Amino acid sequence: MAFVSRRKFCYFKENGITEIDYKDVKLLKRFTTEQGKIMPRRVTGTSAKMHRKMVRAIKRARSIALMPFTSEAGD
Amino acid sequence: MKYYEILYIVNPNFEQPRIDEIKKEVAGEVTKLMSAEIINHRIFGKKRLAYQIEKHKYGIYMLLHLDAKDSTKLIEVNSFFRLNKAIIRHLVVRLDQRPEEDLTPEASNLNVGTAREVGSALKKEAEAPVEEAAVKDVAEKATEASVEETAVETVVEEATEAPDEEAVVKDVAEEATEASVEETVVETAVEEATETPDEETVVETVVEEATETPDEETVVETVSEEENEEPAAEAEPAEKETEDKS
Repeated sequence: MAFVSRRKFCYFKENGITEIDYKDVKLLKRFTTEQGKIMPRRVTGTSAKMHRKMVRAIKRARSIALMPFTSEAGD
Repeated sequence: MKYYEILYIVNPNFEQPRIDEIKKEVAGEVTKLMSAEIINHRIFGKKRLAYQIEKHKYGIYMLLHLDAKDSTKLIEVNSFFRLNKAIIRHLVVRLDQRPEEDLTPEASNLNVGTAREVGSALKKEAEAPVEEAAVKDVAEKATEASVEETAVETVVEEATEAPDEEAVVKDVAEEATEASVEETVVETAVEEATETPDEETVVETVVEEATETPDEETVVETVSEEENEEPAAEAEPAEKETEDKS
């Protein structure tokens, strides 16, 4: 198959981000699905290190209601 | 010296004086229990909660930065927040670095902030200079993409990856709409002309325009072919993704 494979890259490395703030909802939203699930690393292409930090930030944001645990499509 | 950040949500129905009261209470309790020095203590903003808490849809987020000498009483601090009826949720986070002192005046308006306002708040919020730069980056991108943002996020992503393609498609769409409008105008003009032979000269010019439009039409056609090709090219990586998932 002659498909053009899209290059995966670590968003954080590319932008020089080393620490992720749980209050930065706008950034974290990039790594969740519409339902609010955290996207797997194989989809986002983030490095393992940053993925762990990102996951921790998302979970913190969820606990303080900055981000949803789940959300219905219309909500 | 340990640095802590406490983010707590106050009942959204409270007005400024009551918030100040709570603020004082929290500050007093924390400084007493942890013998802490308060670095920042301000309203982070009134925001819509991602999910309802005790039937509240909105919450006033308060941000507190501490430099604590004694961390052994954290359990008491947590229970204080939990028992306080005015506070509906709280989160204590340990910081590695001393948070920057926020000298900008407190956001006093308790209206629900827009996404952009939140972004600027975050900019002020940034604890380390490195982080600040990163946040700025994000904010800039956000403003760039804000126009298309509401439409489809994936589209925006693709646009950043291949801006040329999208621009072409847009141009094409514009041309197409223009051409079709002209065509309909010409058609109506021709109909009128057949009814009223007096306006022959007008009809001639109109017909000339009509002869011109077919050229445009062909252009549009070829262009639309290109349009058809592009989605196919885009569909292939998508297929690949689905394969990955399976």
